[in-house]
This record gives sequence, C-alpha cells and structure tokens, in this order.
Amino acid sequence: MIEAELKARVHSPEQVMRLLDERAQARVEVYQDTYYDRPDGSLEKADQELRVRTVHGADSRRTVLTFKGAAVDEGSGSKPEHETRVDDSEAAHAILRGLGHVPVIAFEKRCRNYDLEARGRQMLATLVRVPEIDGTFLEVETLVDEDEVAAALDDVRAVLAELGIGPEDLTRETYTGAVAAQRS
Amino acid sequence: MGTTLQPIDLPDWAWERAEVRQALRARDMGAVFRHVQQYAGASQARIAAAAGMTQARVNEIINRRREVSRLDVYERIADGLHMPDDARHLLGLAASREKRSGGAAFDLAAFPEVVRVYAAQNSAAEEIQQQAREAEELDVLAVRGLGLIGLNDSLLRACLPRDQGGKGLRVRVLLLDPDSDALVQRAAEIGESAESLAGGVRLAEARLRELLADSCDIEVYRYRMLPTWRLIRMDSTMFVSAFDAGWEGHESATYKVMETPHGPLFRGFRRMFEAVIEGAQRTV
Repeated sequence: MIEAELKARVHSPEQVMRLLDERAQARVEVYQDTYYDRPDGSLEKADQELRVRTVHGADSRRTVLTFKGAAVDEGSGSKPEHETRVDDSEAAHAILRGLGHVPVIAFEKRCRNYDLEARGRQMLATLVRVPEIDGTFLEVETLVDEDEVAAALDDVRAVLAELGIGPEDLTRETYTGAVAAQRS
Repeated sequence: MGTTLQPIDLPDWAWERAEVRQALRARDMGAVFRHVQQYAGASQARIAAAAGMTQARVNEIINRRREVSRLDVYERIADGLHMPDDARHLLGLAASREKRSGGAAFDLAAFPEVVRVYAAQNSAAEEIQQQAREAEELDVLAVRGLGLIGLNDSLLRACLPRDQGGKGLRVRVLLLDPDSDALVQRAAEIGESAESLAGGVRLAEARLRELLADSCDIEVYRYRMLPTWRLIRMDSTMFVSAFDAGWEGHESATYKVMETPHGPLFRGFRRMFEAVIEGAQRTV
C-alpha cells in the first residue's frame, strides 16, 4: 500500500486544532523515532527509510517497525509503506543493529492524531510538534493502492482546505532533515 | 468551494463604518456577521471556518435565533475575522495579543506533558520495567524502596545492570533517613512502628549495597524531608505519584510525564530530585 500523504506548516494551530477537535476525538501520543541506515548510507540514497517507532499513548506503549520505499509521487513524496507491530522495542533495535544497520538519527514527535472519514476514505490527520523544530505541522494521509494515489491526494488536499490549509502551506521538508540541520 | 477557507480580510474602512461600530459596541454578532457578508463578500461557510464554528451556528446567529455570550467565542470571532484592535476594543476585548503561532500554552494544551494516567503503580509496572531496560539513567525517590528496588522481586531490581550484563545504567536512589523525625511521622501515617519502617530502609540500603559488588553504577542517599512525591525517572520519562497520610506510595494514582521544552512538571520534579540529593547523606 502507498501512504498518500501531504504535510503542511500550520500558521494558526489553535484554529486547526479546534476544527479537528470538532471532527474527531484526538489521540495524544508521543513518538520516539529512530531511523536506521546501512553504514554506507545506501537507504537514504535510494530514498528509503527504516524506522523503529515507540508510541507512548494514553492507554498503551507500543512499538512498530517500518520500511518505506522510494517515493512514487514526486509532488507529495508519498511512499510505499510496510509496517508491523513488534512486542519488544529493545529487541527490534538489537535486530537492526545486528544486521549491520546503524542508527542515523533519533528524535521525538509529539502528536495529536485524529481518525477521520472523509470523501469515502479513512484518513489520519496528525497535528505535530517536533521540539527541536520551530512551528506546528499538519499531516493528512490515507493508505491506497498505487493507481489511486493521485485521486487520494486530491481528497487529502480537500480535507486540508477544510482545515484552512492552502497549497502555499504545503511542505516536503522532512523532520529528519530539519532535526539534523538543527543539531549540526 | 475553493474559496471557502480563504481568510476573511475586511478592509479597514469597513470596520470604521458607523453601523459596524454600532454592532460591535452592542456585541450584536449577528449584525457583525451580516456586515462581514456585505463588505467582504464572505459566505456563511467562510465565516464559520474563520470563527471555528459550524455553518449552522453562524446561520442561527445571523438570523437572531442564537446570541453569542461567551468571552472565548468573542475572542475566536475577533481572531478569525482579523479584527483591528480598535474593533476589538468596541467588543470589550483586549488588543490582539502578539501573533499566537502556537506558543508554550498551546503546546502544553495540545501536547500535554502527562501522556498517561494509571490507577496505581501496579498498573504501570510493566511499562516502568520496559522503560528501565532501555534507559541510561534511573532516579528513584521513595520511602524505603523495598517495593521498587530493594528486594529481588522488586519492580526495578530485574532491570538493574547486574542482570543486564553491565549496560551502564546509572542509578540513584533516595530513601527516607531512618533516624529522621519525618520517618517517625511517616510511620504513624501508615500505621506502622517507626522501628519497623526504619528497619525497612536499612534493609533496602543493605540490599542495594550488594549491587556495588557487581560493579553497578549505583548511589544511595538518605533524605530527611517529609515524603511527598514518589518519583521514578528513566531518561526523559518520569512516573510520578504521591505519599499522603494513610496512603502508601504504591497505592497512589500515577502519572507518566514526558519531558517537553515548556513542560513545568518534568522540569520541576527533576530539579527537586537534584535539590534533595544536594541536601542528602550518601550511604552507598
């Protein structure tokens, strides 16, 4: 499946949060993300991502292992995504290291997640703060087959518009890149 | 549809028109909305989006079937319509605060420091152990610490380096001074003799001292203040509960607090822990 996703900078976070709170119940979660690469950086060069994410939520702590392939949509950067839950986060890190991968960057994302149904699709809208990066971000995504990406992105754009986010606010800036720049 | 969410920008001259000023002074939001429709060409949907309310609500206000009375709603409307300060004053609002692009209050309200609440320490046990296994620093503020760390089957004992192949976890434990007045008071509060409570603290100290032999990086201190907070910190995550009269620490509801840039709880508790260490006597 492809994660058809758009990300925007939010200029009025209070208003966007209010509109989202009216549409769905927020799940407030803290993500602790560690991105891995091969020592030669070949995953990044191939536009791929390998990540262990521990999610601290209001009623659970869970860890997911994720691999994202190279983007299939130039404009949005939407990527094929494979994700599975793992029971033991420490073991997941140990397995990746044991296979020769090295942690490239680790940081926290603070998220308000909203499960929305819009235009006949299940969407996830997430208001995001990364403590090391200025500003608040909004991600809206939905999982679709590859031949549906363009249509899905149109629907995602429509949801963003309903939240007061226009095309000029969209960004392809990555958190990993911004955090790395901040730390360098 | 495409224009529904464009921001509404009424020209300054419109805000200065007598009938608009009169509507603001009377706090008649129905009339204000009608003028916004008239001068900005804004639909009810656009006004609704700008003011963070439903279109149905805007319709009711415009048609006088509902009145706005809450201050926060006036604030929202004023912000959403980008009212100049003069117009805000007529409504009885303070001047527009500096552009609120998030800020500490928003961050803490939207992304709270307390990420999870447990009915008692028991329900947090598994998670505390998981965190401890991955942590580099472990701080514990307890009374005698037998349930937490002192005994073989204590919550955190299995996570200590001895069983972990010496992974470099730094452990600091603060226990109540067995010779302090606070210990006598605490013993009375939980219906135990001071002798028994003091004996428990000494037992915990002895058991923790054994960890030194396994080259564990552990420090144990005695503090003399009245036990108030019970803290377990692992790196940037803290589990917080309280001691009170007739209330054992492990029975208290427990908050999981995660460090954020603006969060006062995590900072405050960490600072308090350091301050208690400063004034404490090291025994291990």
